[in-house]
Amino acid sequence: MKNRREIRDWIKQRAFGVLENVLAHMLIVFFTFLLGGAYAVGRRLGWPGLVIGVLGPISAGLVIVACIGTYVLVTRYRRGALPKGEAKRLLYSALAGLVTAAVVLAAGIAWVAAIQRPSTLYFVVDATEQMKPVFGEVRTHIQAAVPTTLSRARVGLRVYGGQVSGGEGCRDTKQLIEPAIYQDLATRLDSALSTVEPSGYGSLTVAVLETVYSDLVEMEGPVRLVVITSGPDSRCDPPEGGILESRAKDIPPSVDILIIGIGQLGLHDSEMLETCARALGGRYYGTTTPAGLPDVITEVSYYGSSHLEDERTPSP
Amino acid sequence: MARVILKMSALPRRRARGSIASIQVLLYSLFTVAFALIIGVALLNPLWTKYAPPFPFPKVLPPISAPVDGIFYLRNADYGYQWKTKEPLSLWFHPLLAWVVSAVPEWQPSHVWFLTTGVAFAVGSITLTHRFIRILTGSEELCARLLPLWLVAPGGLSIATGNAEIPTLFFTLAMLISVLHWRKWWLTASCAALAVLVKPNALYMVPVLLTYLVFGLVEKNDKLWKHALLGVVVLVLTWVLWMVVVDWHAGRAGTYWSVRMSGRQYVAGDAWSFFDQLARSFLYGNDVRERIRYSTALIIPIASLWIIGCVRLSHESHRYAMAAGNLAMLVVALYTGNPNKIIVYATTLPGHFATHILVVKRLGQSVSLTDHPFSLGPAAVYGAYCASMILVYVLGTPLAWYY
Repeated sequence: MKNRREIRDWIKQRAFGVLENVLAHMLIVFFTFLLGGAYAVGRRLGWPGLVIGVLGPISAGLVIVACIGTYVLVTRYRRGALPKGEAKRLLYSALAGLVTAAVVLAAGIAWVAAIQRPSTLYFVVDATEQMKPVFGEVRTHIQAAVPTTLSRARVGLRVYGGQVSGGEGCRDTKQLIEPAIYQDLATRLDSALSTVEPSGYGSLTVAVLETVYSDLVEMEGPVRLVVITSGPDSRCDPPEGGILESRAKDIPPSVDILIIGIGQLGLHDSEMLETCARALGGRYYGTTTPAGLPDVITEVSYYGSSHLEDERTPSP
Repeated sequence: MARVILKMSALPRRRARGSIASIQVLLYSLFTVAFALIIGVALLNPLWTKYAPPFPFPKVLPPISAPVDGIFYLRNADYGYQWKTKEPLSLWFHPLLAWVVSAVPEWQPSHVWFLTTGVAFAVGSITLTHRFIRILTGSEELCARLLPLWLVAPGGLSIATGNAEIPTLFFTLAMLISVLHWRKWWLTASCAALAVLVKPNALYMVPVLLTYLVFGLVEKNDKLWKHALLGVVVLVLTWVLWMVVVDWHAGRAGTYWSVRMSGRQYVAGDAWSFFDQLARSFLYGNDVRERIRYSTALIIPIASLWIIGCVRLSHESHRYAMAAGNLAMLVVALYTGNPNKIIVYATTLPGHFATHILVVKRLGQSVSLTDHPFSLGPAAVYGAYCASMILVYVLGTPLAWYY
């Protein structure tokens, strides 16, 4: 009898030992599985290896700790070692911790993703002959606005008209500043725009489509495309026969287009610019002088074009 | 027999003590509101007159009478709802306050009536909060002298202004106290209806009441779950009824929703964009307004979640119910990608000021009872949090930091 009991106890001990070993190994496998999952997610988001190497083990480890903690709490509660009220409070703390961790994690992921994909502010400036009266002021106000708006965003510049490309007519357009993060942004803008003398004619829509389909084709992250013009050139814009709509339908939703009309535009010109903006999936905004540009550029760079109201429309 | 006589003789003394306590609560409520009004007139008014948001936004003078959205309630009161034009800034706002202001005599301008209404509801809300705290803690004694602590809670100074949040709080508090204690069907139903007719934020009470409903069913407390269910049903039905009224007057089904959805173009619009906008405002922008708007929309609900966890309550159902309302506010903000006005929306939750007062009381006790230097730590952290939220409210109202 005594031997049978001893044998039974020996078997039980060994069995629990084996079970604990198996559980420990399963935990290691689970941890590795979670780590692999975190790595796959990080690679998918394009994060650098260092970030994955730090966040991966931390997140996998937190999940393991949460599982073990829940197991310990549940077993203590079932054995009566944890009063009901205390258990409910601990459960509440766990839930609060989970919500906080989820929010912090989401903010952290967004932070890393935003670093990986900086915003882009791209100017398309009209350099046709109708811009002659205001081109100097526009140049001054763009330079004044940009350094204070997006401190670490990519900025680019294209002009149309002014015979910049060496070509003529509606296809006369050229990129002057490639979209990138520049330390000497004000100097670059100044020197680029100083090489341009408003003359000739050109097409706003051709310039925008050229920007979207060649200059910005590899840009990730949100893009604010700001077109500055003193009016459409009816020789070029808008293209008829639905050409503009068919070419514009592939503009990515991350490109936010705003056409700014400067000066006292007539009703016909405003309507044409609105038509072009709508066809391009963007908005039109009118401002009477170039002095209004810095505020508009700041507003657009932070919030996008949907926040703007035409200053000539009464506020509600 | 002697015991019965003793009990009966104690009754008038208890009643007298109760009356004195009620008068004390009312006096401290009046004192709190009066003190708030002094701050409003002496500090808020000159500051808010001088500064304005960085975008066109109509202002009423004096500004404490109807700051932020108050002007739109007044327009609805003075000119009626703009059904024909489906003007979003008219149709966004629920009708009760506009009806009240349009119904009162005209010997005072409407913005003064709006402020007066807000102040009156503030006195009621503070009094009801005291009652609610007694229910939460299960204690008959709560010093009325703690009530002025209301003013240092996030959004507490709003009682010095005309607003729609404090009237909403009044009705949600009354409804909740009826569900938990008074148990009067007509009171639960009427307060639920009136709360949602003031502001749709009353719908944050739906998860609160659902929590009590679940606890009532589990613990077989019939009156609790029935009153909770009544509150949920009346809240939702009144809201749906108002939607139908708006659509009917505007002449097009879906007007209420389309008007509300049109506001999403001015904010992130969805949860991922919310976090993206938050990150980009710090990484790529210089705009203080964006940074504060998006970060306070997360900080306030998360902080409230932990504050609710810190207080001692008579029953855990209260904790989960308050957390449910708080989480509902956070979930709605994230789902719509809208960080606006969380600092004042939080004041519509019945647990907001109640837990604040209880936490301050507890922190004060732990600081005074222990000599350990680290006992000051939590008090300092909470003090810093309240101070920063007061700053956000005081400066953020004229500068649009939270809307």
